[in-house]
Amino acid sequence: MLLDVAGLNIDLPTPDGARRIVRDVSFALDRGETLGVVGESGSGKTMTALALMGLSPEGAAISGAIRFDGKDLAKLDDAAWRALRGDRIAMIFQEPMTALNPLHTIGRQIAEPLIVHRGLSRRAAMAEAVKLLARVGLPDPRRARAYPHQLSGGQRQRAMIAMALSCGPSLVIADEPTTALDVTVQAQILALLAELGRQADMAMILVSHDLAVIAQNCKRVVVMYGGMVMESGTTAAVLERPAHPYTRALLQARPRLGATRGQRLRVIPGSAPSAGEAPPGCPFAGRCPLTVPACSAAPPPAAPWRGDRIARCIRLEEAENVA
Amino acid sequence: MSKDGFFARARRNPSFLVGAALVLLVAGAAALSLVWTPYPPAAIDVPHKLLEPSAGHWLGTDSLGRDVASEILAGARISILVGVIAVGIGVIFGVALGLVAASAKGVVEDLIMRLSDFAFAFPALLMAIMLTATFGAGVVNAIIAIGVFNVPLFARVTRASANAVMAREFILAARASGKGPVAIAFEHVLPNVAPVLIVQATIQFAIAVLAEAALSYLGLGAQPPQTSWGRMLSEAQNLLYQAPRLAVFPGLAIMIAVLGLNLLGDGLRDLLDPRLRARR
Repeated sequence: MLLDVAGLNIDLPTPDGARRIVRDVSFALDRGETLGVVGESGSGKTMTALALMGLSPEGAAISGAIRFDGKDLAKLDDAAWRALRGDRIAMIFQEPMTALNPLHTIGRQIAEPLIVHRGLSRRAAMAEAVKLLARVGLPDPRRARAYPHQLSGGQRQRAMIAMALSCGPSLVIADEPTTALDVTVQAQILALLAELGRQADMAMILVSHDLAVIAQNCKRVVVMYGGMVMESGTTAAVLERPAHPYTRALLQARPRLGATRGQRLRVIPGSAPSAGEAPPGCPFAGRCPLTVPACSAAPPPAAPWRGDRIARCIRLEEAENVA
Repeated sequence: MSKDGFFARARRNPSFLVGAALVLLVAGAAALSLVWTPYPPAAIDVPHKLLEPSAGHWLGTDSLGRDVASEILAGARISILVGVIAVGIGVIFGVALGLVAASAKGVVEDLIMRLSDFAFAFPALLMAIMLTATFGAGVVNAIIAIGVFNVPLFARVTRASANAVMAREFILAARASGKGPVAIAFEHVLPNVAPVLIVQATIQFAIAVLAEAALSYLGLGAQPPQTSWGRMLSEAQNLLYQAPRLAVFPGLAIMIAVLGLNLLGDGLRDLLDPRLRARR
């Protein structure tokens, strides 16, 4: 087991007091495995990802356990976090234009983790950066001297990947890595990530709101909503036979090829609770067609369902019959 | 970033061009005075006092027979010296404090900013008068007094711009690659706030030149025989009706320096600000 997150809560300070934006999140990840995390904006997926990097916003209170490679990350101090970040755990950001410093060459930015963690000289690190750029499909050594604005979106994301992978991390967190790219480039970048992950036996957490991206790249998936894990299990099972009413609604809201022309997409009624507006019970209560008074009373427990799946819903039986 | 280089855009920016020309004129005068002036600037020649401008004395002579043109040239030196050192003090300490405030956040940030508000609330000239009254009149104390006034100003500007840069995603990405706060402040934040600081430094330079002239006019800055535009103005005051030109020439010199620096600052602001650049 490489990563084991158990009962993770994140409270952010607001003028009206602390608000819980991630509630009781648990998942685990093996070496070399790719886990999908899917959810709408405000579902807590990015906050969960940042907590795994020790980069939660100022003043955030984190409780629960994050075990990485046998260490409890919750107990790390700043220096220990810095030693871990960029070396054992790395992150790929959504928008490479804003995640790269516009005033530094991409070679210099890829070289940075090597200088920080491996103690390489600037010259040696730059030579390594050129090799890394070749590995991510930018073989021209002159690219290392380019500034971010001189590259295309896909090239920038490749540079970002080279930067994340420079120290050979055992876990990479990719937060919407292809959302800012067009679809053909998206496929190339995902294939590249999968290939590099296989070569280095690197585990990956792929955060996305795009179910197709998750379906193609992840064996297992975690579905988040309102700061909670609604359902988790193998991607095939979750996407083909969703147990949770939210997952079901999410899949039905997708546009599909072959649908009758003019047929309207099924939308989920109501709107998602904004971050921190967490109701005492199930965050989906009220929007869910199966809501009963008990749903809003207490958070639903995480219960095993049909094999290795886990779902948080007190009406799973009924949900199965509706389908 | 536009495809045009800095210099190509600079050539189309009139305030930058005029400002740069005026500043170069003043800098050239200061440099020239190091190797040559028509007469030694402090040489008293009473028999030839209060001469009208002529071929021998381009701008005439003052009440002690000193050549005004030579004094103006030598005075540029003091103005530049004061500007460079006073702004230097402000930049070094102010930028350091501003970066610390923006990186540390919390109590440290509040403490630094409240202290700078406190220093700010004090009228600058009054503070300079206090300092020179305590430690004695002279160019060195005037420079320190003006420099001290610049520290909270640069601290504020740096903190405000640094906070805006720190909120950008590449800072989070740098933290995610394991960089420490000091390295991030110097390698990622400072280069991104530099354009703002350059513009501010130009404008503070102009203010420092004015402040030196004011202090010297009050007799708290340059002491005779040291030549300064402010001291020349102060001495010209007694003869304002007999020889108004004695006040006009140093006044013009101050105006050229300050106008040049302000235009240069405006031009640099346009050239270095990426938002203004995109709009054109």
